[in-house]
Amino acid sequence: MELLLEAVSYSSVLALASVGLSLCIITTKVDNFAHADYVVLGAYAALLFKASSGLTPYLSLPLAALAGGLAALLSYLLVFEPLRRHGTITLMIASMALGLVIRALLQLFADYAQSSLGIFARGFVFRDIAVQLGGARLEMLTVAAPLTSLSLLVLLYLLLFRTRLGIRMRAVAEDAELAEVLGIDVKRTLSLSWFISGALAGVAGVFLPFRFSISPDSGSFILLSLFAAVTLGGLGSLTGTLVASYLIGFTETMLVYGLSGLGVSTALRPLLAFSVITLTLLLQPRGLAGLWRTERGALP
Amino acid sequence: MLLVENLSVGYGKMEVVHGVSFSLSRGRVLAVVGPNGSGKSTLLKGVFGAADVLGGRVVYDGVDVTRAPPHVKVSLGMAYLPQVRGVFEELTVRENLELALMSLPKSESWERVEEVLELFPELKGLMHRRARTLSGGERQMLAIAMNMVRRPRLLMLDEPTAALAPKTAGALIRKILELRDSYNLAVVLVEQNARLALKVSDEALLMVSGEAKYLGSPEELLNNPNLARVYLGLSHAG
Repeated sequence: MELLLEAVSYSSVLALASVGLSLCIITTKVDNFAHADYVVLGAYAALLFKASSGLTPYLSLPLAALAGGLAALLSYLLVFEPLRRHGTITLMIASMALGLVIRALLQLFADYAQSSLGIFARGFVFRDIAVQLGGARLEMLTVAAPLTSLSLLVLLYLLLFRTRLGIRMRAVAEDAELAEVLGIDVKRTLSLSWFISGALAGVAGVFLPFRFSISPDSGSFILLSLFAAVTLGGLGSLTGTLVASYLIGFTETMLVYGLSGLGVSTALRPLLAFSVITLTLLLQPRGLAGLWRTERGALP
Repeated sequence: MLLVENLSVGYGKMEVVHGVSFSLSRGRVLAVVGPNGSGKSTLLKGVFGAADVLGGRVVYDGVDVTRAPPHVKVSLGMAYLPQVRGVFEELTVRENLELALMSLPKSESWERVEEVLELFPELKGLMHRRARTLSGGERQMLAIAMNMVRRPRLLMLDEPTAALAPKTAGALIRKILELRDSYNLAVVLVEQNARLALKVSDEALLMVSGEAKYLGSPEELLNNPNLARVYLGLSHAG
């Protein structure tokens, strides 16, 4: 039971971050290698909040969402919008460079936090609190992460399919030039998409330090799992990414449990994500979404 | 209402249209015809701001809009229907029409769409269908309806009858003329089917190699054996 809850909570965090990445890929056609760094920014926002207020990091969700959202928005406005018409390869390389810049800035922040603020900011973890639920004693993460993830993803679905903004976002995702021709402010719509995408990543970042030690360069190991989820899901499908996040989250959790049980190093964990990416691209390049979708360009 | 002066248009530094001029009043149809690759579509894109203007100017209702981005031109009453895709295939017909409504002030309501649907009754029964499931003719009707929701004063159409059966193409052109009459629209019609376009237009512009080879009466162009035969492949007195 404990293992199942663990798998659900990790998968939920993965789903939040990878659906955000998928949104960037769909709307702007950017395979954003800096996306995992927005997750880490969210974790640092939570650390700063906890250190300055003394309160539980769970209360820092809005702050982390804001940090991740603003970082993504600035990335779009300063880097990806000026390069939008230069092709996907240029955008991908720019995102790699951006990831390095964010990591370098986080290193500087970690130095400053440690030397001037007395905050331990490298390899930090959060201690969880216990909650009583129906007579069972559970770690807060196993309740908060799935609930937050479910609520935000339902909200995202409603936004995309029940609001005018959602129609605009889906239209821009399908054909930005045509949207512009019809008088839609594409830049503004994409700015909102990027903010939402980064905010989801920032929220995911609050939950990660409860299970992993976080450092400024943690984005590099998170990134592989995120890309595994969006690749297996089918690049450009939110539903596919969501399903794939849970498949990968569950498998990774079981793998780590199995490796620990056998006394094998859990450092082999990234091998799973790497294998998923390779096998998907070789055997089913359109991912899970290819199983139910025949046309290209749809968000679900 | 529309004045295009010495307009040069291209992509980046590559100039495709060289110094073209024309003017158009409300209630008139200008047919832009010419061989493949003569710059007809690029000219239209340049006027609308979807390609790079390298020289000259575009004046609309007395306002210089040469460098204005497309969404600003739309807000001023210019509408442009692109050659390939004029609708969002993954959105429903209803969502496509709603989207067209979004570029208007918030006070504008769904009534505007209903008003347009009276002009396109064939769309009424298709509201919940995804646009990709529509026929070519229905898609073009939807694309024009989306533009009409914003009550434009100038409608620029880039080969609206491409890939349509002759009967459907004829019906579409009749619909465009009906809209012109009902709304006193100025219409710029880029057409590969020169005979069809010249028959329904009030003025004609013949583009050859990015330059305006002829500007004037469509009848004269149709009856000019050299121009009509050499550049449009039409037999004399078509």
